[in-house]
Amino acid sequence: MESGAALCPQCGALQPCDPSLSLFAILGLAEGFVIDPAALRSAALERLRAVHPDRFAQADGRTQRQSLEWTTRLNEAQAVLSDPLRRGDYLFSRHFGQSALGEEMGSLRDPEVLMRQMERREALEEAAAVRDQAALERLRAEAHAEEKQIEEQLAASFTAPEAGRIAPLLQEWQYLRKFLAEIDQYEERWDFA
Amino acid sequence: MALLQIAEPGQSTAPHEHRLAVGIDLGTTHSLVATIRSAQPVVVRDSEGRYLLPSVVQYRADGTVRVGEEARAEAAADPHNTIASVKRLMGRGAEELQPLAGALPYQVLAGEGMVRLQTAQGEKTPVEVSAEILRVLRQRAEESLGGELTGAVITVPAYFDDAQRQATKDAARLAGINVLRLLAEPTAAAVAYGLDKGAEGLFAIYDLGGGTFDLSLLRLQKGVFEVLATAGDAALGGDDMDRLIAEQILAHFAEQGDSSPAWHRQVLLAARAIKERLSSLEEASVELVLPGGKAVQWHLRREQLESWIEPVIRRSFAPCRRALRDAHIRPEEIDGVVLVGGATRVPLLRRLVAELFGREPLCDIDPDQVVALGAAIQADALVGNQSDDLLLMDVLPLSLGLETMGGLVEKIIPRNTPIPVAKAQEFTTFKDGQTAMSIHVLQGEREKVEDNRSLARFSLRGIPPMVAGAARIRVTFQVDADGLLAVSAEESSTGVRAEVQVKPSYGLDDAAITRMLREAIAHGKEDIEQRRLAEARVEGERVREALDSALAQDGSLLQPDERADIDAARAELLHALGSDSAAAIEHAAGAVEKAAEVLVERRMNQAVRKAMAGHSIDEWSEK
Repeated sequence: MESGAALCPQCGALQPCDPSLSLFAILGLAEGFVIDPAALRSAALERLRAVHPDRFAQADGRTQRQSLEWTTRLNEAQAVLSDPLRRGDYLFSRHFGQSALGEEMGSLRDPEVLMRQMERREALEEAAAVRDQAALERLRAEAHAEEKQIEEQLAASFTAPEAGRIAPLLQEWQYLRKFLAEIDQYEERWDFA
Repeated sequence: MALLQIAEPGQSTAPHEHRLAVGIDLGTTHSLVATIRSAQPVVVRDSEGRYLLPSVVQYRADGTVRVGEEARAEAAADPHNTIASVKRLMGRGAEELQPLAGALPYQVLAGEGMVRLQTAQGEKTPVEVSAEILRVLRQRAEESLGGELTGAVITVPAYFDDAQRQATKDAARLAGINVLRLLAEPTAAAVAYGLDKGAEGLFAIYDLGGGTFDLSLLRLQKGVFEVLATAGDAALGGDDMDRLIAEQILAHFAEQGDSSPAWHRQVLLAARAIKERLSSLEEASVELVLPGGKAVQWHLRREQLESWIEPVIRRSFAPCRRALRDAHIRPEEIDGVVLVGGATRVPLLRRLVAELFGREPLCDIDPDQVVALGAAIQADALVGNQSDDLLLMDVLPLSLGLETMGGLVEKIIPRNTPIPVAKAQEFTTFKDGQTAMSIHVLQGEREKVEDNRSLARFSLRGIPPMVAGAARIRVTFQVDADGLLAVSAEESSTGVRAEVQVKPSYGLDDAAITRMLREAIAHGKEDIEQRRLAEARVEGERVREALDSALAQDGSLLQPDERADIDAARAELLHALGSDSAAAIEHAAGAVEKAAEVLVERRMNQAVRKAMAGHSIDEWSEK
């Protein structure tokens, strides 16, 4: 059977989900950092259509459980692979056996990067103190632009993966994500107040 | 004709057999049921042509239950026993309803777990009240469609948490309905729009019902309905507008009015009526009968009304912006805004929503019907009547988390994660030889435990005793396509499955549901009790006849004390057969069978011996 095929090609019955398949394999995609979002989406949709619990609403308990497992796994694959940061860290763990974002890897050490993050945070606090929405938007746009740059650097780095080069990029990106989440939280607090 | 019919998994094996499936919108103010007829979704009407069933249940002192229009008519006269807006109470605890306390005309009992209501027929949970409404809709559907339902899709507010969803599913179970899926109301509305109006692109579904508000952002594309983000307020709705208007009326008649529940109920009905009238008129009035018996007219202009209700509408905008942020979508990227729910008929609401999203909202499908119609479409697909490639992908509306040290919550699955989703988390023991631990699961976005909804406490037992920190307990949290959570646990180093015991914080456990099912059968469904009694009698007679004939032939095989036991059980059965109790007959018949086991065994042995007489074992085994 083709790897990652959910349905038996002969009888069309749902097969057990093999937990050892990679998130790329489960979607039938080539493993790599650069991915075509449209291809990812159509691969996921095609497979979800075949295995989704809605197709097995009347089936026996075992089939329903398998459908749930498949769909859960496909959702995970789509969630991880469609986000370049999570995709990058997933690939990192495939290459080097662990996440670049866990405690084991330590945190950012590059003083230049750290300084930038500190300045950014100060700017956010200042803008938040006076509820300066325009400044928040500016900071958000800057962070987005930096995300784009890191994504490009990662794409280049993954052609010949070295943990020492890739891990700091992923960690810096993680910083940016936390920063963006903080902007959202400020807005939300004002909104719901 | 092929000998083997090959069916797609999940599809009907007999393609011509049309299975009866419905969509049910169980609403705060009214409920309705829809189905597919000649490939078109349609609402199902009662014998008088009405399709909206007021979500009102009256428990009368004479033991009967009234549901719908009749119950609503009694609301002012019998406020304590007439339960309206029960959806607001689903899966909620008494202490959570504090903000509503003054507004509820019926008696809410204090206590732990899901709230209970005091009625003329004793204590009722919101699950039981909702089941009464569902039962009427089920009956309506079965009468109209002419057969038993295969199943139903029941809609819930997208923002309903686990406890509220579970309560809804339990209510359906009590009403004897096979729940095919719990479907988010805005998603259902999107299905109706997507399939009927051919809508494609990014859509915002703004759903303001009687008591709940949801905003869902969806991507619609060729039969795929993908929820990108959802946000809402499970305690915000048109009812809140009514209440604000009612407060004004009460204040206006402060001197002539009183604090009786009947007067309050009358004012609330008047408030709703005038709000509805002012949706099409610039000014209107309602008649009120004051507690003293004097009838008066109360007059209101639309502008005045709008100034009162604007805060309710504004409150819905924070969730709208949250959903946009979560989905990383700017309002101008949205291709259409769909209005759902009766409260969206208010002209001010339409103006403000148009401002927020920068475009005129759509309301071509009746906002009261659209959710039920969409649910009917999905129900039809789920039972295999359609081969359409409908694919609905929804999200978890509120983050799931666990209690950690210091009363804080650690998020394990963030909100707006597509469902089904699973997350495994490892725990370890902190004492030598520890064999049990407790996990507190919460739902919500806040940091502190007390600011979130407590869903359940799981206790894990049967952990193999080890030194502290050596056990690795892998706990898996699985959210299914209905948005319901299940927890399983395993000790990783030994592979021992830990036993998970669930104590839902605001839910009903299985034993409570089983008891209610029995009560439902005993009270409301006398026909079922009659059928069970008739069946028990037939079965009891069959047991008696079989026993008598066995005793007549082979009674000699029994010892006197064995015979005495059987005779005693037989006498019990005869006595039970003379009663009207199915349970007593079933029990007595079971006792006879048990007492007669010895006789059955001896007769069997005797028969075998007779059959084998004169034959050797070898002969038998060769055959």
